[in-house]
Amino acid sequence: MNHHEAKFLLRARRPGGADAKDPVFAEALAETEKDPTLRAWLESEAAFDRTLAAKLREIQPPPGLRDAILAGSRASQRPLAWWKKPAWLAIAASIAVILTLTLRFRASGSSTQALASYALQDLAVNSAEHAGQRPELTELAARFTNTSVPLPGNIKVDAAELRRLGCRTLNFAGHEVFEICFKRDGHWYHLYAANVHNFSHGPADAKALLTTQGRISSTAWKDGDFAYALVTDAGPEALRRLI
Amino acid sequence: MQAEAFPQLVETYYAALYRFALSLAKNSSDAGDLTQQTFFVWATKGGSLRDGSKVKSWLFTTLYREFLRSRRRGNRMVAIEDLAPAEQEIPDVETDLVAKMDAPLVMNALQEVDEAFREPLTLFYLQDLSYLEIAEILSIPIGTVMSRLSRGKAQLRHLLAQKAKGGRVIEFPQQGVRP
Repeated sequence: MNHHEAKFLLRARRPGGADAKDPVFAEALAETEKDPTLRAWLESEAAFDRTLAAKLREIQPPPGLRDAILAGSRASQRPLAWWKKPAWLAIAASIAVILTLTLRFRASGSSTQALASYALQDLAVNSAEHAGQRPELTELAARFTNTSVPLPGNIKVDAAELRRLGCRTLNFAGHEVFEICFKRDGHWYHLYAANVHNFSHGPADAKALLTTQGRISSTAWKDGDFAYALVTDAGPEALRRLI
Repeated sequence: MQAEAFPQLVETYYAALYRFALSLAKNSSDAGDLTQQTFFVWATKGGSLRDGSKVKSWLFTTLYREFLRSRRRGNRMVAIEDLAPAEQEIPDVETDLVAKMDAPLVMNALQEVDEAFREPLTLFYLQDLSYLEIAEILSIPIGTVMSRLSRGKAQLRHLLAQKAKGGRVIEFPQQGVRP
């Protein structure tokens, strides 16, 4: 075995000694024992590999990724055959509800209550799509996670910013609705925001519209620019604490 | 796998998977999506894995497959035959020089390595995987892994040398003088 062959093999050998017992490297290693130049090369190569590996391990995942993974997995545990999944029944039922809501919305004019009902159905039907948040939205979501004041009256969102960040966007009766997911006290909350001109009817007080359907609670309110709906499966008391 | 073990699994592997994804996808957003998708696949299919010692390999294989699926491989993959032959002499980049470089700059150099070489190189450096495990994850022969590691290291050293030159300290302008 010449130098070239020995180096070729030893470049695939991990520097930490994990391959110490691998016979593939035995002959090449034996060469390094006989040849000081080759041994020096191997030591230098291993030092370089260790340094490079340590440097690359300094790269940290974006904040929020772990929580997003955990939230996403909860929606996917205990998989069933598709035809056994209650979600398919729920989807069929909810499509009907959303269709009804849309027709009612178009017939009777816009209201924050319609937005709340739509948000509630969206969370119930598309639970898998509420699995966390894009990394670009982490900073935005943190505003809602970290604030201690009630959300109504203290929210500032910008539609252009939400579009730029790739916020999840829905279409309700032809109107653009943004969804921002954030976590507080171990529970996920989902804030839906839409142009207030399209949802101008209804009270500004979030407590007035707090309702619960099954395991999901919702409420809605509005300010000068946006109508908001807030939904969670953490229960009505958890929702009440945010408004 | 039991539900309570899942958070532990995520804790153990999500950072390593993210780094592998970052080297493949070259941007943080796609890397995060790939990492999430990998655990989603685990949550739905991982329970069928009987051999607990294969979890790490399973996760990296899944992420790699998801990466391939997320794009049209044929359009972007550089054929190994098209790549320039390996340099006879691998540039001698000093270990101290790499130690002084910023981690993102080193990652950036790794991301510029040709994809066919970058995949095994990333698994070698970032995950401390053996050439056998790398061959299994990438579904390529052992000899190919060794060849790509050797050539990939050469390319990476070239790129690091270039980055180091480009990153040399520029003299600070004198006080009161605008550059």
